[in-house]
Amino acid sequence: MFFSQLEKHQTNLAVVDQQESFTYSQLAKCCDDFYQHIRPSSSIQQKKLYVLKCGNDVGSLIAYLTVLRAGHSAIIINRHSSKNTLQHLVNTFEPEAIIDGKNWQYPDIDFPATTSGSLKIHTDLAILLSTSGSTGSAKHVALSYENLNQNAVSICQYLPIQIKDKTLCSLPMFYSYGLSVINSHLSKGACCVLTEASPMNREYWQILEDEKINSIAGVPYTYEILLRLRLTNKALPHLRYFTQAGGKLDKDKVLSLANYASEQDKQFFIMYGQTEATARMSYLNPANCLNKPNSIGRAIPGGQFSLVDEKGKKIDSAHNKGELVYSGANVMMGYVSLSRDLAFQKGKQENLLYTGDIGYFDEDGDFYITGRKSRFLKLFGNRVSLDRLEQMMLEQGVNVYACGNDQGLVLAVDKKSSDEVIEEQQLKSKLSKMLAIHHSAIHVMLLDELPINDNGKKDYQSVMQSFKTIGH
Amino acid sequence: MSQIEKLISVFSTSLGIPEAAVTDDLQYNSLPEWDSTAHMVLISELENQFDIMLDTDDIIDMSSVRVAKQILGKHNITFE
Repeated sequence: MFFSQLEKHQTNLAVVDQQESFTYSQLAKCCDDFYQHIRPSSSIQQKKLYVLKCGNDVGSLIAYLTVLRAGHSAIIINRHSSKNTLQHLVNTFEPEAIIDGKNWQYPDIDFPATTSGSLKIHTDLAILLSTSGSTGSAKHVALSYENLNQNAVSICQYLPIQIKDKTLCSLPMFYSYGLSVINSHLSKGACCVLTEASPMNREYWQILEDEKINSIAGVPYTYEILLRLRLTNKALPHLRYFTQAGGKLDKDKVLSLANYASEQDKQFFIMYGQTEATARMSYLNPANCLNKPNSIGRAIPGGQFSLVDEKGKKIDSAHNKGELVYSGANVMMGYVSLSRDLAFQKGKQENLLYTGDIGYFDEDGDFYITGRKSRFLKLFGNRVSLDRLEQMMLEQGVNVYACGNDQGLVLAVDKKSSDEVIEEQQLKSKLSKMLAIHHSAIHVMLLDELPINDNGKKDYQSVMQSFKTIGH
Repeated sequence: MSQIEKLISVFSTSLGIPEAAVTDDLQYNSLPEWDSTAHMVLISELENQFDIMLDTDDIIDMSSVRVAKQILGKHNITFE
């Protein structure tokens, strides 16, 4: 697997950040040194779980690889996660230690007092990633060593990653797509240039040119910024290809990027994935970007898509909608919410993932996503669970319906549910802070009554209808 | 509306802050409301309201209200 075979790429450059750079041999040596800091004191060989506080720097990468190489497991989180989040993780999963590897020679390691030391962890379990950024639940996706490795290998089969490549890793390491960029390049023996800079920073553009970056990766929001900052006016001769995943990018932006790619002799890869499938499930052949800008293409090598209708029956004909189902070796072990889930006593699920996305395929076999079965939105790359949001508001004594689309959140508020007077602007700025989302993407409607449909269920459709009629 | 009133109004609506908070010293990332998302909204509003086209460097450099005035100055928009 890529993490256990770093040495094989020897003198290739493996990683670069603002401070330092290492070849593969050096990186492997760093991991061996780092292990001395985290090695369990007991002589009994027992698998441990660590919380890794990560940023995009060499130290965080060393900590991550060290844990994998030693056969332990890690929960990978944002270094800047709140104390509450961290405490919650410690209480829930009883990790051996919390590690911040930024200063990798003298890492910051905290051993929580509550750890019982008798945690049963499945031998295959490699990492846990959070399913929701902002609404904070304990639910995590459990990925195996095999999941990480298989997805990395598959990505290397469809992306033109070359051994001498330098890719810009600006997406966070604790985000499955960001991590997959790293894993796939390490698998190939190519170089990861780690940065915390976003396209909004001069540093990002500086690195693109100075490091002669060959590929970049981004979510829709990244490309919105890149386009606004006139990416398409820049030749960037070293940049060979760029990838987009993490939600639907507007059609006109896809076309702008596809045109830019074709004029500048570059390739643009639109991809689709979920953390539940390690990261990636499909990609659109770059030759089809201009004529199929809304498509997510076909399953990655080793994976397979199918569609099922509401009764679970397979759909065989083009242009009929159903739930997208994926199968492949990158499908997660399952979800975990408690420390005892880590044992996976029921065994691994079959390699089948019901994505919750609704879509169809065309006569060529390219897939399209048209909607989502479950109730969450992706706003500026942040996943917002609508049901969880409703619950959070209810806990604060306000009865709301949360709905909307990936362009914005629509909140219908029952005016009478709170004793206090609810003020629209105030509520908006509160939500904006709570969800870390710009206020322009939050729409609040104060209603005398929340609508209920004939079946006695929450009538979200009528909320969206009246939202559209009041001129949005 | 004078140019300065227009500028203050653009900042206030894009960042979702009161007009009184829009002072020359107000800086990017100095308050949670002026983050990268809001910055993009701000840039797009400035371009619409003043009918200009900002380039990459202008957008990255626009780190305060004072600098915004200087950059708009390059496009012949003055605030005195």
